[in-house]
Amino acid sequence: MSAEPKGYRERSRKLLAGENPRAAVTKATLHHFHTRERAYAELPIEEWRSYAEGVKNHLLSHLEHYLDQAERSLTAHGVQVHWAETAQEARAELARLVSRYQVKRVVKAKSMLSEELEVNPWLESLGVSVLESDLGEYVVQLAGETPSHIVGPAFHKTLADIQALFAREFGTPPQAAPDVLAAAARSRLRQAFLEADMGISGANFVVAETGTVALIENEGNIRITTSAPRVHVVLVGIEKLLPRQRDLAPFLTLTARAATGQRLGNYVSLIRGPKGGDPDGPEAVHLIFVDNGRLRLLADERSWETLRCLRCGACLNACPVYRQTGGHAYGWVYSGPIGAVMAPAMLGSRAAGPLPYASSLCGACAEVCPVKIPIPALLLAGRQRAVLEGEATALERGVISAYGQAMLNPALYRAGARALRLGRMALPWLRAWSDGRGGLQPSPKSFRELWSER
Amino acid sequence: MKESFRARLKQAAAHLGEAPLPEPPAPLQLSPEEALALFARRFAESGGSVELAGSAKDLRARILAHCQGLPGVAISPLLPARLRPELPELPPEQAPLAISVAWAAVAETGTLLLASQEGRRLQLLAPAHLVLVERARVVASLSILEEVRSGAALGLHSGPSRSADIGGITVVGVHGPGQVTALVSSGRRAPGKATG
Amino acid sequence: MRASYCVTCLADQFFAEAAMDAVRLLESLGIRVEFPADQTCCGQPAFNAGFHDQARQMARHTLQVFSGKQPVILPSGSCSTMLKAHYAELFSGPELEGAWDLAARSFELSQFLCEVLGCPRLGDGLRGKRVAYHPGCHGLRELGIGDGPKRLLEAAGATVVPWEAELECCGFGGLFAVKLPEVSVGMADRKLDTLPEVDVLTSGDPGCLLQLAGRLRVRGNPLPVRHLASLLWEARSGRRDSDVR
Repeated sequence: MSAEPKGYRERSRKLLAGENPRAAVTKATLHHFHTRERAYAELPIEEWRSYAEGVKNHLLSHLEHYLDQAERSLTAHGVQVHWAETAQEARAELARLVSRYQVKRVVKAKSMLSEELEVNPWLESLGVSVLESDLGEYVVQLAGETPSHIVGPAFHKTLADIQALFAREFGTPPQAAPDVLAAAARSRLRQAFLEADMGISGANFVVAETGTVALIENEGNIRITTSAPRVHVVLVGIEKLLPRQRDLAPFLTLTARAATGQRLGNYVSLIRGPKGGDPDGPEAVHLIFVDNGRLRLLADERSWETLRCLRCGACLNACPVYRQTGGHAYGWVYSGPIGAVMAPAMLGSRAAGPLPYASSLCGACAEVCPVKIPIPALLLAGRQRAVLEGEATALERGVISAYGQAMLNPALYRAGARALRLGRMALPWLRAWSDGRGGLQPSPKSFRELWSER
Repeated sequence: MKESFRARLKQAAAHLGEAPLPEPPAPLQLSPEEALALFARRFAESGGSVELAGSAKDLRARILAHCQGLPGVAISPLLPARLRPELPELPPEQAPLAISVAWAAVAETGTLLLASQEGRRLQLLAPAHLVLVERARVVASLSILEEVRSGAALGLHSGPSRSADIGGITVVGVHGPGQVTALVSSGRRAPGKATG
Repeated sequence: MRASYCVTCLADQFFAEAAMDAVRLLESLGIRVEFPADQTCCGQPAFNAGFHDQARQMARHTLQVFSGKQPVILPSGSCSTMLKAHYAELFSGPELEGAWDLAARSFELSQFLCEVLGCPRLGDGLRGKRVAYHPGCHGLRELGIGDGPKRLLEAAGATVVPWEAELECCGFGGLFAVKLPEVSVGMADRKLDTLPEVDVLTSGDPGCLLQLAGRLRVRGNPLPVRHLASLLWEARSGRRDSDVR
C-alpha cells in the first residue's frame, strides 16, 4: 500500500457520505473498547503499563545490544537471520528465499509489516501465489482492499458486505450465516495450508535472551502457517524485541488485554527454530529484521516513543475520529492515532500531510495505550514540525498570523468583537463551520460590554 | 548485524538516555487446588471444555468415550500405550479427533501448553482436540514460560479456533479445532512426558 | 477572597451571559471577582495548530495580564488546560517559572468550586431537572476534572442522566472542526444519537457547547443547551438569567 495520507480529507468526506463504514467500525471498535476496559480492570493496570513502558524504553536505549543478542540466540537454534534496511531490501531477501526454496505457493499470517513492505504484490510479480490466512485479511484480500485496522482488518465490513462478497466469489447463499461463510473460507484455506511451500508471518515479540519468536492470535491460522509449510519466514521490525524470557508472559497477556480484552489469545505460538527431530514443522526458519524508517523514528527526539507500540489497536478502538471512517481514510498502513504520530517522522511532514491534524486531541488514545505512548503530545509535535517545515497552508499561516497580531493588542481584539457582532468580520472557514452547525450566533453583547455596563 | 545497519543504529540511538530494566509484576500464586479450579473456569470461559479424571481407570474410560463411534484418531507419540484407544491411527488432517499430551496448563489464562515434539499438525488440523494434562502440571501463572528453554515450538491453546472477523459474530473452528477438551488426570501417575 | 477572571475569547463572544452567570455565582459565594480588561486569547488555537511562536507571544501577553498572586478562574476546561498544562512547554528560564506559577493558581470554574471552595452546596434551584452533562475532553483527561460538576448539579436537585457516549469527544477540537468538518460533525452526531431524554444539555466548555448546540439546531432538535455556569447560577439563585439558545 503506497503512502498517500494527503487525501485524508477527501477520503473521509467520501467515506462519510452515503453508504459508509461508520456503523460497522463504531460497533466493532466500541465492542473492543469495552472488553479491553474489563480486562484492564482485572489488573493493577497502572503498574503493568509502567512496567511495559519501562521495558520498552530500556530496550530502545540498548537496541544494538539486544539485536546482537537476539541474532546470536536465534542462530544458535538454527534460525537464519537477515537484515533489511529498506522495504526494497526486505523484498529482495524474500525473492532470494523464494528462489532458493523453489517456492510456488505462499500462505501468510496477518502481519502489518508485510503490508508496509507490500509483500503480496511483490510475490505475485515473482509468479508466486499468495493467500492471506487470517479470515478478516482473507476477506480484505478477496475484496481487493487493504486492512482497515491493525487487529481487525475487516472491521469496516458488515455481515451483509461479506455475504455478498462470498456469494460472488464462492457461490454461497446470499443470506449465509457467518459459520457457513467461515466454512467456505476454511475449505479453501485448508487446501492452501497443505499445499504451500512457504509460510510468512510477522511477530509480536522476539525474545533476545532465548531467541523465541512469539505470535498471538485466535484463529489458529498463524499456528498452521508457521507449522505446515516447509519454510517459515518471519518479518519483524527491529523494535519488536523483549530483553528477557521472563518479560514474555506479562507482555503476551498485556497485549491480548489491550487488543481484544482477552487474558491471552486463544493461540500463542512460541517458535524457536526449525523442526529438528519433531514429526513435523518447517525444515527452515528465516527471520528478517526490518528497519524501513524505524531508525528515523528512533533518532527523532519526540517520536522515538512510538517504537514502544505493541500494535494492539487499543488507540484505534478508543479514537472517536477513527470511528467515523475506519482506517482507509488515513491512506497509510498504520491508521488511527498511532498512524498519525508515526507518519511525520517515518514518512516526513510533507508525505504525512494532514494526519497529525486528524485528531480533536481528546486524549482517549493515551488513556488506553498499554505502553503509555503520549499520543496527544506527539500529535502536537507533529503539527509543530509541519509548521516549522513549511507545510502549513498559506491560508492557515495568514489567519494565525493576523489573529496572533490582534490578540496581542486589546484594542484590536475589541474592534474585532464589534465587527463580529455587526457581521462584518470575514471569518475564515465560516462555510466549513456553518455547513454542519448553522451560522455563528455571537452573544448580543460581549462579556466585556456586560462587565463595563455593571 | 550488517555494519551499515550498526552505524546507523548507533547514530539514531545516541540521544537516548540510560533507562533501567524493570522487573515484571509479581506472578499470581495459588494452591494446586485453586490453580486447578481457576484453570477449569478460565478454559471454559474461552470456549473449551474441561474434564477431571478421578482415577487412571477413569482417565482411560474418558478417552475411550471421546473415541466412541469414530473410524480412527490421530494420536500423540507421547500418549502412553496403556491409554491408547484400539482404533486405526489417522493422519491429523483426516482424523475426526486428535489426542495430545500437554506439557503443562496455566490457570490464570486458561491455557494448555503443547510441545512441538508430539507434532504440530496433530494439535491443529483435526476438528476436535482432546488434550491430556497431568494434574500436577496445572500451574497458577503464565510465568512458567520462563522455564521454556528447549524444543522447536510451543503452542499455547486457550480455547477453540475462533474468529469474529465476519460482522463481529463469533465463529469457532475456523482453521483449527472447533472443539477442545482438557482432560486432567488424577495426578498419581504422569500420563506422559514432554518437555517445553 | 479575590480572584481574577479569565473569560476566554469564546465565552466572551458567544456565551457572554453565561460568563456573567459565573461571575454572579462566584460573587454570591463571597469571591471578589476582578476582570483585567487587557486580556485577549490564551493562544491555544495557535498552539494546537502547531504555531508555537505565535502561541508563545499570546501566552506571554496572558502571563503579563494575570501576573500577581491571586487565583485565576476560567469558564472553560480547554483554555484552563492551555494555561495549566501547555504554557510550560513554551518557555524556559524565568518565564518558565512564571508559567508554572500561573498554572498552579489557575482553575476551571467547577475545579475552583470543588478544589478551592470544597464543593459547596449551591442551592436547590435545579429540582426535578434532567441534565445531560458533557465533560470537555481536556478538562476530563488533562486536568482530571472528575465528577465535581455532576456532584454540584445533583446537590442542587438535578438528575444527571447516564449517557452512553458521555466520555466521548463531541468533535469540536478547535481548528479541527473546520479543517475536517465532515469527521467533526460525524463525531457530534455520535454524541447526539445517543443522547438520553433530558431537559437540558450542559458542559463547562464553550467550544463543545458551540459544536453541540449548532449541530442540534441543524438537526432540528430544540433541546436547550446551557453552559455549566448558567445551570450552577440557576441552582443557587433559582433564576435563569441566560440561555445559550
